[in-house]
Amino acid sequence: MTIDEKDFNKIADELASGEAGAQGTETSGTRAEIDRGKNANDQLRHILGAASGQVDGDGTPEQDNAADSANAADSADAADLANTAEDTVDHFDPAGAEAPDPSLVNWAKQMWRTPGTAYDSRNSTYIEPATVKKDGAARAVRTALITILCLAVGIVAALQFKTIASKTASEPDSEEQIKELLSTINNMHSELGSLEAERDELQNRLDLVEQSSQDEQIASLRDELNRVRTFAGLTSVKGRGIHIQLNFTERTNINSIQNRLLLLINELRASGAQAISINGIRILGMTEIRVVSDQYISVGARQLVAPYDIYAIGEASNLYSGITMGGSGIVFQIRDLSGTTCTWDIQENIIVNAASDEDIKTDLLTSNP
Amino acid sequence: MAAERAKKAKTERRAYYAALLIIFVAIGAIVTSKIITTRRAADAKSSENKALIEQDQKEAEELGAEVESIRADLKSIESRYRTVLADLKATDREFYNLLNMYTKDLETLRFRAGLTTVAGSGIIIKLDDSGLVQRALVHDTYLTEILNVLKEAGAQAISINGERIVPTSEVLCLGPSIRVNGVRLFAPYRISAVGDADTLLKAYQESRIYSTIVTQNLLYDVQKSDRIVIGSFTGNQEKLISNLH
Repeated sequence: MTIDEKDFNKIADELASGEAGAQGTETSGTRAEIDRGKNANDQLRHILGAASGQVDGDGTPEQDNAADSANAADSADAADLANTAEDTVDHFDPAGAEAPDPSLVNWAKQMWRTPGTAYDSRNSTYIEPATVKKDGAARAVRTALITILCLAVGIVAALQFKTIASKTASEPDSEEQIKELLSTINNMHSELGSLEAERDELQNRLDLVEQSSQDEQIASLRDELNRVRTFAGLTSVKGRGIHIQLNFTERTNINSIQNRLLLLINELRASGAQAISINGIRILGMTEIRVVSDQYISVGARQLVAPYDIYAIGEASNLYSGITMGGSGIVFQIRDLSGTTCTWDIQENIIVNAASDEDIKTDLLTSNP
Repeated sequence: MAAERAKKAKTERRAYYAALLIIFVAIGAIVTSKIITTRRAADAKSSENKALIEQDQKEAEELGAEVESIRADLKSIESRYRTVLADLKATDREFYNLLNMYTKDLETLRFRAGLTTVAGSGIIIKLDDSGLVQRALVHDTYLTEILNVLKEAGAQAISINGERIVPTSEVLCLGPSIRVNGVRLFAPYRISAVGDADTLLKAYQESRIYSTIVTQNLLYDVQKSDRIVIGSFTGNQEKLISNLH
């Protein structure tokens, strides 16, 4: 349904000659011919109206779309009318008619661009007012109805979608609530775990005091003291495990070796390491490991220099497969860094030193009542 | 002729309006069905969430009740224990003193080893990757680095989602979850650290890992708090020293 500028002009010219014909025949022609001319004019006016909308719309894509939808009805109308118009115009012979007066052409062009004026002039001059009025009125009513209908549909649809949108907008809130609840539940589970552990511990002690002999009580307390001391890393321990020696140089990226060193320790823990030391310094829960420069690393606020000997006691085979992972493990990732060396081997009698008492700081902690 | 043509035009116009009507009816039907399905989906989602919330609230209530009952148990055991000790103090002063000494040592040691619940000022870091569609996960590398930063800044007790960090604690990525102390934890991750709150906060926010987390757009949040409670290690200690001689 594209009517380009060329067509537009063509139609305008045809219109002008049609008008001229109509004008020319007015004096001598029959009523039918006048009607025909009117008809042609009427329909061409519509085509022009649609065409001008179309030509305007071709300017920019957005406008085009808007124009398309806005003029969809008009364009459909125009297409139908264009056919009728062609038929009608064929009855006039532009060549046979007198050459159109240029001022008349201009007037026609001007006139058909402004439909309101055309109506008026035509009502008075050419058309039986009753027919046109009826036709125009019916059309206006229809247009109004369609407009109202469209508006109503649009408003209802918009309202519906808005309600749903507001409903779905409230969804993140409930999702947030669920997350919050899950977090609370999580915390309660861990609180429950801690409380149960405390209760069991106290119950054991009560049972001990109530049911055991004095010697048994003391022996049991000593056992527990040793166990907790070992667990806390405050005793020197011996066992089978793995030894890793690594070295890096100024060619090594500090951040890379930092990350991989942390991953190595983490991997050892994940593989069941029970005691770990670097250059004789026991790694506890709160011990930091920081590669400060290519010259030294800081472990538990102590400066250590290369080579770095890491010892870990645990199930040696698990430790071994944990760090090697069949060739893609963390030790290979360390070895692949430029400027590093990394070796590892299982050893039978590894000794991991005890941490000193000062290594565990608790001055900022209070016992929870 | 004119009348015929007018009739023809009228018929065509009628056909055109009929087509218009059909189009509108079709649009109406499409819009309506779309609204209905959208509405149903929204309703289903909200009722599903409602059910989930109710279920979670119920679980939280049950857990709360359980916590209270254990607290009550603990209180009664404590009072019984105190009575027994008071009796002992009256009957056998010497043994009472010996027992008291050992018990106090043990209590201190347990406190230092992370086997008791502790409190203090510090920071709470929240990380969440559960809402992200893209592959921005909280990696174990991030968590180990965050822990390292906190330890460097003098943290004296740390927990992740309630799991206390002890010398053997691993932080392992397991797909959508992590493993700490052999326990599976799910996002959102909550790292609580007790220490000097300002130092911890500054160290964390100035760390490389912090900027990584911010750039990766992991849902993050960090708060200072005057009082953070960190639970005790609840795992099996025996198992964690079985290879040490």
